[in-house]
Amino acid sequence: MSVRLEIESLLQARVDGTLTDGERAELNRLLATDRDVRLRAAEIDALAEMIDALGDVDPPAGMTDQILSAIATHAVSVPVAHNARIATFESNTSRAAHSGARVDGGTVMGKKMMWGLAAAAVIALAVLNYTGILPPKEGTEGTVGAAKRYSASQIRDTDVALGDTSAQEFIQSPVFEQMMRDEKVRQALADKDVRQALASPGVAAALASPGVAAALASPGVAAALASPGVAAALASPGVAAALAQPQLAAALSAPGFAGALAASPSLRVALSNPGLAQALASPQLAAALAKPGVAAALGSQGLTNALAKSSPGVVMQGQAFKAVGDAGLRQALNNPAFAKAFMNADFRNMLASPGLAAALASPQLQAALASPGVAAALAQPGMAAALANQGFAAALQNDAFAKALASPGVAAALASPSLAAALASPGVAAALANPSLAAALANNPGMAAALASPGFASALAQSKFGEAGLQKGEQ
Amino acid sequence: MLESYERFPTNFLTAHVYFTQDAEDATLVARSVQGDAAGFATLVERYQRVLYTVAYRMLGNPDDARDAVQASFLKAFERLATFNPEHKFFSWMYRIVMNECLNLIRDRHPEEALTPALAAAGGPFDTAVVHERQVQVQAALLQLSPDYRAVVVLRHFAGLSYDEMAAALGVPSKTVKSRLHSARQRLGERLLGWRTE
Repeated sequence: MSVRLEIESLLQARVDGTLTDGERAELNRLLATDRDVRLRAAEIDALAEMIDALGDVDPPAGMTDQILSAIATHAVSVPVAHNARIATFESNTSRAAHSGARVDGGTVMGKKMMWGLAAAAVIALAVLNYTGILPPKEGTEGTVGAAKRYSASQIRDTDVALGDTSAQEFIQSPVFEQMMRDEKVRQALADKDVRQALASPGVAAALASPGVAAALASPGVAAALASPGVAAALASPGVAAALAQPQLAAALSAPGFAGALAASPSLRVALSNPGLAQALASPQLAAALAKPGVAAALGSQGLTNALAKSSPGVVMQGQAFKAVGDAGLRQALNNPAFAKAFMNADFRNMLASPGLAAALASPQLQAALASPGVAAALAQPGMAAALANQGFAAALQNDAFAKALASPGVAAALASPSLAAALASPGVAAALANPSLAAALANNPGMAAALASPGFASALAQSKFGEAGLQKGEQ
Repeated sequence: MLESYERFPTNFLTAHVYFTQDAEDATLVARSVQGDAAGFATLVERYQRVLYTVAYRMLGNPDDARDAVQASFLKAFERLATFNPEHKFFSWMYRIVMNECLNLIRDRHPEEALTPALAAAGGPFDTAVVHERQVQVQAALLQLSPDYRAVVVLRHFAGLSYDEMAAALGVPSKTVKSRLHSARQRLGERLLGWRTE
């Protein structure tokens, strides 16, 4: 359909909504009177509607995050004043955009890697800067690198402001480089739950600790952070407050602690206990936690359950708690009865005795401790005194006795208060170290039952009788 | 009766209308320059969809569109302090995006076909028909010269006025109007069999 150029112009303007009142009146008159104009208007309308029907295109998921991450990753700064530090973004990006690859820090990376790294970078920057690890410096202009969505409802917009030089310094730091090169870190930081946890004010405050920042570079911590459960635990105000302690931050980087965090739901539950979190903030305990064995012990369900229900601060700040690092004790702590007993101060003191600590290295004793009966027996108040006896501790190092402990009869006998009292006698304890007696105990249920007899136990407590009886037992 | 001849401005027929928020944009730009991360994040969130649509319609490829939008926001951020607050932020952004798209098109190897990315086949017949038509329209768009394509894209997918397109493209409004007329004519010839002018 052909119409005059001026009418065509009016029809185009009609489609574009730019008609003036006069033009509209003129065009409407033409439309009402001229069939060709109406047909041409219909053609143009049809074309416009075809084009419009294409509609919007949904951007790739997370594109906003990727853009903001890329800004942070490229360390782009606002070029103002005399202090501007302009990154070579333009040339890099242009080149990368045309080649299908990204250039970052002089390293050519594939797109996939770049996206993951960038996503992690912006989160790290947002969190670390918010927490004050990257404090803005006077006289510098800002650098944007944080996504509003990361702060969401927990961090106000105004709280997330990155100082440009400090952010760039961090980006150029070995810690950041290490973080970004570690796939686990990237994966962890890309996890929604981790991001939410990191964005919580409590965790953010905890992350203000330089030690925590350094700990973030630890692969073990990254792996732990990758667990939603850990992230949730970190979001706990109590845990976050505990993490603010430099000593605990150091512990965080201990492989055992991070691993325990990742592996043990009970530990994470326990960590949510304000009392435990407070206890964790103890410098002594934090230092102890830096030891892999102790940290791993925290993964013991029995211990953590017990700790969560008691006054963990009292428990954990004692020297006895260090013994938890022993493998045998860790195993025993998985026994609920033993874990309950562990809450007893006398029992913990017993565990702290050097002799018993050595005894706990015995596989036989460890096996015995895994026995519910033995654990329950050892948890008796009276038994604690016996266990604190060096002689008894020495007896425990006797494999035969340790094996005997695991027998049901001996375990039942040990549950006798009177026997426990008798075991407190140096003579009886020493006698128990005799392999023959231990063997007899293990192999003779009757003897074990006899041990539980009040009279026999009482007699055992009399050193002379004990010595005589034991000598007889050897025969 | 006469009202029936009225047509809403192009793109305002669709559900996706991009109402610009100039004053708010200016505030966000100012905040961003002062180091407020959330300020720029808001601008990105506000415009990333329409800018991606524009880039996709210009380039016909999702990866290239993503690259173009990302690079554009990075450039915008880098030059944020040089942004003249008397101008509209979105016009500035469109100009950056359009330049990025035109650079990508210019740098493409001649053998690279400008064909739209096709979605997976299948689905109801009607959907397939609609899809096929959309592919044809997108293909026709990509066959336009970049200058013509740009005005169609900015008009139909960003809803820009002649003056706004002129600002984004750095050409006079009259040129925009002329290009738009010519571009539509070519699209009509390809898609609806209009007689060649």
